[in-house]
Amino acid sequence: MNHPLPPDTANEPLAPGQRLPDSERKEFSPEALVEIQAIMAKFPDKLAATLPALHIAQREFGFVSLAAMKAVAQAIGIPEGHVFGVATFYTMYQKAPVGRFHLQVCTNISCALRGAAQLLEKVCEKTGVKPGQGPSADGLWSVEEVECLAGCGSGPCVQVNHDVYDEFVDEKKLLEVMEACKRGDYRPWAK
Amino acid sequence: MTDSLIRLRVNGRDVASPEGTMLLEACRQNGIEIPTLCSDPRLKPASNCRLCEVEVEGRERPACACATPVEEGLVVETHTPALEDFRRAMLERLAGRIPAEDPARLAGKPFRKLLDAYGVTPSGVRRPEAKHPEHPYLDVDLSWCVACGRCVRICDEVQGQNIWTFTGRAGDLALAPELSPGLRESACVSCGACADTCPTGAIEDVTRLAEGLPERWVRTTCPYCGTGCELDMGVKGGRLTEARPVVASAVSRGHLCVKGRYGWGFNDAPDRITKPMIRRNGLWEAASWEEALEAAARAFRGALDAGGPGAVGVLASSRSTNEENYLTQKFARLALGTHNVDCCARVCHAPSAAGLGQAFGTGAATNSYADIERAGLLLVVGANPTENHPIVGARIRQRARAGVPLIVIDPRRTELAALATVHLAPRPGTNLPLLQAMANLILGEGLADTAFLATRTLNLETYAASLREWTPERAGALCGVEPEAIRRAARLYATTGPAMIFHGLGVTEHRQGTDGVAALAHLALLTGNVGLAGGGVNPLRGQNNVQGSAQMGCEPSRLTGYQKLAQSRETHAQVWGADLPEAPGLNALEMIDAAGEGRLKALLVIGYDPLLSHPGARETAENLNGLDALVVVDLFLTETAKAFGTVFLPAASPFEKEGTFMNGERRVQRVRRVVAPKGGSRTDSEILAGLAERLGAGQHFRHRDAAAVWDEARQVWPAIAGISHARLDREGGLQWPCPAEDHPGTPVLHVGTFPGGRVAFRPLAWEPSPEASDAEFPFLLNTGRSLFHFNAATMTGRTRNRDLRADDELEIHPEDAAELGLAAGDPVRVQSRHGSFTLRARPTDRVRRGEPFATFHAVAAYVNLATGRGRDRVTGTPEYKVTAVSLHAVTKRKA
Repeated sequence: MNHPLPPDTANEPLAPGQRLPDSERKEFSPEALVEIQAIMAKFPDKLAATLPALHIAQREFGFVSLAAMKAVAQAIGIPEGHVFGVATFYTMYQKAPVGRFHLQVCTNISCALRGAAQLLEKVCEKTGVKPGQGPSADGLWSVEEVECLAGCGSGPCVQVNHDVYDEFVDEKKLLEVMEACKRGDYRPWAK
Repeated sequence: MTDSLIRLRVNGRDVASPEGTMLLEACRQNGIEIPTLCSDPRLKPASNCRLCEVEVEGRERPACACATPVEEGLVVETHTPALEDFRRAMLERLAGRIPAEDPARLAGKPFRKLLDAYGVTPSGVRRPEAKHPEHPYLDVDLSWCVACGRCVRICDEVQGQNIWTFTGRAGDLALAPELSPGLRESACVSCGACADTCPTGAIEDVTRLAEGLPERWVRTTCPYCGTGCELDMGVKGGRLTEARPVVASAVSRGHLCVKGRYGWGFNDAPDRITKPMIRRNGLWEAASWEEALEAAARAFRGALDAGGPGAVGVLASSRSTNEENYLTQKFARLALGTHNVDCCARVCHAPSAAGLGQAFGTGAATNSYADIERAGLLLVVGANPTENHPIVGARIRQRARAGVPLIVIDPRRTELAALATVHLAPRPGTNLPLLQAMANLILGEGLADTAFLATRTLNLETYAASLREWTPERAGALCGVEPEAIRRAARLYATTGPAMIFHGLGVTEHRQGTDGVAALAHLALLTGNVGLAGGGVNPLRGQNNVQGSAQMGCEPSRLTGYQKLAQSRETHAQVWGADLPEAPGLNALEMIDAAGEGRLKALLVIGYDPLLSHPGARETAENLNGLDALVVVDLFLTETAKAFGTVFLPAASPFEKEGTFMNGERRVQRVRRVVAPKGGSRTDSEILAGLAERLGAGQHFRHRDAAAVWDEARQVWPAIAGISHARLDREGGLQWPCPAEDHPGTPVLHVGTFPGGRVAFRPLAWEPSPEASDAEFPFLLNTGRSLFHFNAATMTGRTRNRDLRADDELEIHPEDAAELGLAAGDPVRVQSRHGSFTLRARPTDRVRRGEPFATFHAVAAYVNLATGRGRDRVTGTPEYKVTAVSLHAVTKRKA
């Protein structure tokens, strides 16, 4: 089962003990700028680099803050307004701080028929945060209710950062995933 | 786009349209209106609204007419029942977003017309959160937004500011980035393009909402800068109520800046003077026109009796029409019998006229604004067009964004400099070494156009030899520029053709202003960039009609057509039926000097404020004080009038008279009477005729109307013989030379040959400005303008542009500011060898260390108290751009 986004190793969650990137951050690191330059070189039109550059921004800034959008515009040499429009169009760019593990629960029809709403409730209960409320006090968790994660045959599904768990996730499996996250090897059976 | 016509069939009718036309436009040309909401001739097609979908035979789905080019044999149906049902359904959906209340907002808007045509009524509600914070000119309530995207696109594709954007997935409009709480806090330049294109009034002019739709529209030419944009002025109840851009305009192409679009409020300013006044015992007293004209004439008669024709002078106005300027110089020469007549070109672009005249034989821009889109490279020198000529600036920016190489030579990091491929920032006063080094490199590296040099130029060897000392290293050290950057710029300019040069006052307002212009002309000659579309040397003229004022003969040594006295004296005498004076005249600065020495007794000043705008204000004041009589023709009591005026004659504004302006690309355009002269004010023509009558020269000033004056000018200047008011009304603006009625005008000068055949290179010797910084005066002050104000702010200072930029400011490098203990907004005293003024500091890295920059608009700042005596060696133009100063934080007294 393929996720709609391309595989993105750059978006691997931080290792335990590592801290979230500073959201007060204003600029890209030199390495990130090199990376963006390399992406720009692949396309005839620099506007095309907006999406990958926003992914890099999300990684470096922790979320796509306004400063991150400005930095992207500056790095690519395009209007800030364009970056803002793109970043807000795509829901998977986080425009507010998220936890180290961003748990996304699909509540579309197939998952809903197999108890997605209950799963979402469980996720909220176990993490102590509500959807869209920002990260938990320890900075580990945030929760979001999302549209289809492309696991309709084996829902309900949960996605942690960019990795999907779609093997009929129930409370037990959810706890397994959360424990794995805390241990740092959270992807035993993620797709 | 070619001229070949494509034939197609629309609704069973055969129609034809030029290749490249979109169906929407092709149908419109043939009288078939297809509904549309998101298209605008200024913008690329977007196909957002889908209302223009039409059925094309052989295609499975309907196509958007706005984005479908005409094709041979296409068969199109535009109004089938299915299409009409679809359109009604789309409109109903959009009408559901629009509040049912306050229908006035939609009045006259394209969306209103569509709703009426399809019998749909708005049914939405106002969303309080969609109302944006207050702005002086723009009222934004996005409750009315239908997400057509026109504002987003016009802000991107035309102005290039990208203030508007969409946010989220539902097509919500937002300010970009949304960290701006409102337009005022954003980088918005208030050009009003979004409000002009908005089809629903979601973004609307404040004045339109307050005044309603105008009763009538009058097309005229903008009274601000030398770009010469066309305006559609709205009138209601005999008053101006709004200005809109003209899409069909050859110059402005449907765009305006904050000055032209919104800066017309001065016309009805409460302090506008509309009754003549005479100063008696130091106080202004109202007088009748009869009394005031008699008092003025008496003053001139007295001065003439006492000191002869050398004792009187006239300062003409670059704000007035060509016709009035023509009459002004004729008045000086016939009614007063003196060549003491000059205009404010003296303090701006006289060096451009002189430098280009020497180099090419014609002292005006060689090319047209339309060439911006034809140029392969743009070189902008000492000009800040995004603020001072915003319509030209926006177009240069669009080209740079599209990847056309841009070289900017400016000590400041202007908006264009920030976008430039190469930005060279020379120290103030060192243009010449930089340009010489570029020329030397082009010759030395074999990048010159040898064929052009061989056939069209002379004196190359002497010139080349004079350049050899100017290595990039030597010039770089003088200018404070990396030699490698000079090399890059020179190579880029020489190898990327056609290359177009724009220059501004950063070139001319120097001791070697004329030489600077000549050096630019040499660069163009060396690379063969003269006489071709997309090339040339083009001064960006500052005032609406400064080109026209000088060209009409408001110059002591030149007659109409910028023709030398000796060359055209006979023609003028013949047409005028009177002899011209013999004694040579004084220029504007010399006249003021002569007043100080008691040689000049009476001065007529029309729409000009020398006290505020000439350098060395203290000395100017002392000199003006030496006059017996100073007759001021203006809209407002200027600083000159307040201090020294003896008679004040209230003039009609540019919106209150007929005539023509001449823009910076030699284009003559019509100025039309939009409203009647306010109160008792009169046009300059009427005033001059009244004065001439009383000076016994009335017979020379009995023209029927402005067209008759223009026709007389056509007789003395052959280059405009083919331009008549009637033709301008019919065809729009025309560029001289246009010697015959069937001549199309001349967009590009010097094609194939120069007026004198070949042109000669002139070796230029550099002399450093004595205005050097030293221990006592360690900073070099530069001066200029901001987007929101115009020159002495006589006009913009009386509009709500005040609310957008209230005060003049001193731009200063943050490190300099820190050393002086200055924070943003702190008052700082600027002291030069000549005087001082105080401004608020604005720390910014747009300027370099040691080189602060002051805007000079408001009376309160009076920047010219500190500027010096330096003048261009050829034309006498003041060196406003270089003044050695010291800066002092003004300590606030503790309470």
